[in-house]
Amino acid sequence: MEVLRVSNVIPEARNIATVMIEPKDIARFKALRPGQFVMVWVPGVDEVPMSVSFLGGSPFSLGMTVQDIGEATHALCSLEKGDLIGIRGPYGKGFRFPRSPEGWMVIGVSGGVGTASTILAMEEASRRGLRTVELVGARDNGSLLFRGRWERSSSDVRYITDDGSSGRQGFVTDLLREAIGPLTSDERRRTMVLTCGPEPMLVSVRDLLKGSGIGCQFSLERFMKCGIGVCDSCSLSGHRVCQDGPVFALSQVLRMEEMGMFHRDRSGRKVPLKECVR
Amino acid sequence: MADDATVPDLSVEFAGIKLSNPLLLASGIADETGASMARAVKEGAGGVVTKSLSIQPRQGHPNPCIVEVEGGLINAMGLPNPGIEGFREEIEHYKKKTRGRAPIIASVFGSSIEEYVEASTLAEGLGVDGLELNGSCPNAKGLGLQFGQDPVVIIELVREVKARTTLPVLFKLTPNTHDIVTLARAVQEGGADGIVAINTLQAMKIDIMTARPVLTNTTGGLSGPAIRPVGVRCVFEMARAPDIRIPIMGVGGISTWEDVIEYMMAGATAVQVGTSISWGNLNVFGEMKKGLRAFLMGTGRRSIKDITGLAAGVGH
Repeated sequence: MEVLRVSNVIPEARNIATVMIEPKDIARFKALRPGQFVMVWVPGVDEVPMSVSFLGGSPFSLGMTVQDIGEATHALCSLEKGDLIGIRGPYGKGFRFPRSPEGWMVIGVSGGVGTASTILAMEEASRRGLRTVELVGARDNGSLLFRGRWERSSSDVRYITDDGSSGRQGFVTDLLREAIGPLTSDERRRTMVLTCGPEPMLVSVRDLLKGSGIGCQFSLERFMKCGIGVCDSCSLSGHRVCQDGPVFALSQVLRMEEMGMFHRDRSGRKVPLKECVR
Repeated sequence: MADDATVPDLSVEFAGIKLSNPLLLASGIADETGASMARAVKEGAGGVVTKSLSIQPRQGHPNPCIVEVEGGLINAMGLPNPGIEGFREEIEHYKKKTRGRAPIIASVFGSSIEEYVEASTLAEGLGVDGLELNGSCPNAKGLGLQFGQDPVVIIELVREVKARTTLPVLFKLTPNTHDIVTLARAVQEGGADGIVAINTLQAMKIDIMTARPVLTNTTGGLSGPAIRPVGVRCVFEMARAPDIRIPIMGVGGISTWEDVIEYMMAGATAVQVGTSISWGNLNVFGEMKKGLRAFLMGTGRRSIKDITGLAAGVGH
C-alpha cells in the first residue's frame, strides 16, 4: 500500500469526478494494463476497487473516475487536492489486444461510468495502430464522459443516450448491432469488442455476440473485499473477479450462470441482481 | 495412476478421511462458494475446508480488511459467512461438481459452547465429511480465539461436539499461545480426531502518513510465508510429544511442494494451502503434486505417507 496525497480532482459530469494521484512507484503503474484495477483506501471510510481511467502525463499521474453512488464513492468524490489516500495494486487481468494491428478492428462498447474502464483500453488500441470504433452510451448528455478523449483517440465515435440528448436515442447495444451487422465472416474473425457498463447491458452484448464469430472481452464488477483472490467475495460462478478478471473473454462469460442473475452480499450470500431491463 | 508401480502414491488418510493427496484448500481462502471450492479440486486439491460458518449469517468487518506486508498478508475479515443454512446450496453445488472425488470439511465457530455444538450438528446436516472447529480466529471479538487458548475450555468444547456428531472432528489451533503442546493435549483429551495448526499470528499495520492502523479492525492475523517457520515449529513440537497420538494437519505459509515436505517431515499427515493462492493462483495444487511426486521418485520412496514425521524424532 502506498499512501499519498491527491494531486487533483477533476469534475467530469454530474456526480462524477476523476481523482488524480502521482504515484512514487512509477515503474509499477507504468506496467499497468488497461482494465486492471487498484484498491483505494479512504482513511476512516472504506477501501474500494477502482478502474484506472487515466495513466501518464508529466508528472506521471494515475486517475480514477468515480460516480457518487454510496458512502465510499461519496467520500472519494469529496476528496480535495492534498488529502491522503492509500492505493494498492494494480491487480487483476486487463484487456488483451491482437498481436499485430494488421486488418483488425476493435470496437469499444461503453455504458455509463463503465467508460472509466474502457477509455484507457481504447486509447491503447489506437496507440497500437488498431482501427477503432467507439460506441459510447449514457443516460443523457450530462452524464456522457470523456468526449474529448474519445474523439482524439478515434475517427469513428458514435454516441447514444437513453433520452436522445446526445447522439441518437437508444441503447449502446443498438449501435453494436448496426456496427457488426454488415461484417463478413472474414471481418468478424478480425474484430474484437471491448466492453464495460451496467450488467444488463453486458448481458445484451453477450447475447448479441454469442455465435457471431466476433471475440469480446468484458470488464465485470462484483462487491470486493480483499482484491487479491483470497476472500471469495467477488466470486462469479467460480471465477474470482478480482484475480481471474476483472476482464473476461466471451467464452468464459458464456459459462457464468450467475452473470446477469446473481451477485454476493457482504456475508457471501447469493442474492439476485436487479431485474434485467434491456 | 495409483496402480502404476512407478508413480509414487500421494494418497493419505487423515482421521478416517480418505484423501487422494495431502493438499487441502485452507479455510477462509477462496471457499465462500461451491464453485470456487470445486475449482480448487479441479486444480488438484485433495480436499477443501469451507469458510468458517456460523448459525447466523455474518457480514464481517468493513474494508480495509486485508493489508499486504513483507512475506504475507494481515487480514481481519471478521468471519463473514452466509450462515450454515445459507451455505447448503454451495455444498450441494460442490458435491455435484466433484462427485465424491475430494472430501469437504466444514469449518464452524460460535460464541458459546452451545453454539459450537449447534453449528456442528447443522453442518453435519449439510452432508460434509468432517468438522474443523475454528478455535483460533483472532479477528472477531468473543468468537474463535477465546475458545482456543484455554485447555479447560477446549476439552469441554470438543467433548460436547463429539457427543453430538458422528463426523471426524478436527480442532484448529492458534499459535498465539506460549504452549501449543498443552493445547494439543486438550484437543486430544476432549476426543478430537485430529489437530489443524496453525491459524494466523496476531499482527497489525500502522500507516505512518495518516498515523492510523490500516485495518478497520485495527489488528488482524498474519498469514503467508512469513509464518511458515512458526507453523513448522508448532507441528514439530506437537508431533514429537509422545503422548499426542492424533494426526496433525499442517497449515501456515505453504506455497511450494518443498514447504509441504517440510511440514510433513515435522510431523504433519496432510496440509492446507491458503494465502499463497493470492499470488500463486489456484494451480499451486497441481504444481505441488508434480513436485511431490518428483521428490518421492528422486528419493526412492513409494508413498507420501513415508514422509510424515521423518524429522520429528531428530534432535531429542
